[in-house]
Amino acid sequence: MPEATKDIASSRRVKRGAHWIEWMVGGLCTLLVAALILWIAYHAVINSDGVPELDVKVTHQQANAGGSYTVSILVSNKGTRTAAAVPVTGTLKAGDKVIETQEITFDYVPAQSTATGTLLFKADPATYQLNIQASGYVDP
Amino acid sequence: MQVDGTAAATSGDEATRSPDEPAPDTFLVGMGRGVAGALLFALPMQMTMEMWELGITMERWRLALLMVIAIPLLVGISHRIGFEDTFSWKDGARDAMIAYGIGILTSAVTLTLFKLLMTGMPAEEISGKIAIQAIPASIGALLGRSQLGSGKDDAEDDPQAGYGSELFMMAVGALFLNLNMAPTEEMILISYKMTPWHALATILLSITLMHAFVYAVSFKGGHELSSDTPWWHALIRFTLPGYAIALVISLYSLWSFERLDGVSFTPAITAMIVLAFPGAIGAAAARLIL
Repeated sequence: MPEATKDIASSRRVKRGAHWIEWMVGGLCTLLVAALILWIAYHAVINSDGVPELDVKVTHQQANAGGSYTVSILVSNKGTRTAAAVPVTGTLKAGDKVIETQEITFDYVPAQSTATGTLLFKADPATYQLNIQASGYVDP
Repeated sequence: MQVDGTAAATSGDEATRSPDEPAPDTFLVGMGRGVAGALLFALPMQMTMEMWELGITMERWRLALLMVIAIPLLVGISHRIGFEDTFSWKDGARDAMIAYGIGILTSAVTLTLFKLLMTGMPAEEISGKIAIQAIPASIGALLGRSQLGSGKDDAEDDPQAGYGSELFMMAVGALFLNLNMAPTEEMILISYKMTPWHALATILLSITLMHAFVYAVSFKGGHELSSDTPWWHALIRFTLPGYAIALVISLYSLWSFERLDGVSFTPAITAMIVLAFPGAIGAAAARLIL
């Protein structure tokens, strides 16, 4: 059967037999696609019903020339689902009194990934208690 | 694309004309087709907000890399589908650069028309906005010059198509659709909405459609293999390498347009699978059309 196939093929439009390179490239690509399918299938089995787990950290603080203060933050999502429209609120407090509140929204914090942004305060965060948290998320 | 009889007739015609000296009006017609192709293929991108923003925000070295990669790509396309009887690499390179030029000029004109380029803007913004549009526009210009033409090119490219050339054309098709779609937010949004099961289904459907497009459905021009060859031969030698190419190009496009920054492995892989779906269709279609 393979013999017959080859004969007919070469007598028609095919100008070339299947070179070994074609089979090697084909084999490698088959392995690659198979690995991809297995990886995704593995994740499908272990965590198809995960939830986002958000955590906010301050990475950098500095005073700006204009008199404002920047607080750079890193939002990480350790969960297995992506969070969308994540509002991150930074509050400066002196005891129970709220001095200033600033909020930014991250469009997406993908699963097991991080996103960065910056809050701008008018008061110096170093002289107050700084509290930063993600206040919610939308399922994408 | 072309009926065999006509194709034979046109190639007979060509033999009588000296390939070194195309008539001046042939060149002008070619330029006109190039502009038409550039507009036809690149207007959707020129009217996409994300593409304007990327022109400003994209890291300059990623943009520069994309522009450099476009050169061998254009030369390769030009060599493969060659217009104006160009079959040497020198002519291919010349035509590629003409197409690149057409791409840059048409992008500059349309973006100016949409008031996206103004005199007060910093040079970096103007150059970035034009540069990012010039790549799809230049591919369009090359394709326009051959595909909107008489069709003689279609008849000529097939016989010399080797395995590497097949894979190359699939890469061009995948890249073309990916350039259209990778800049949009929807690509990552879809990947975030998907569960791994959806991603798995997308992979299988991409491969099935690709294979069906080229082999099972057997469009004209899409069939190098005899119908007696076992189906899995074509699957392993063409469809799966084609899909792997679509995956790699999709990953490159996403990375290039900064959709993967800060994103971990699995979400990046899912986004790659989403974008490889149109990429796979583009790759399969390129083998049929080009």
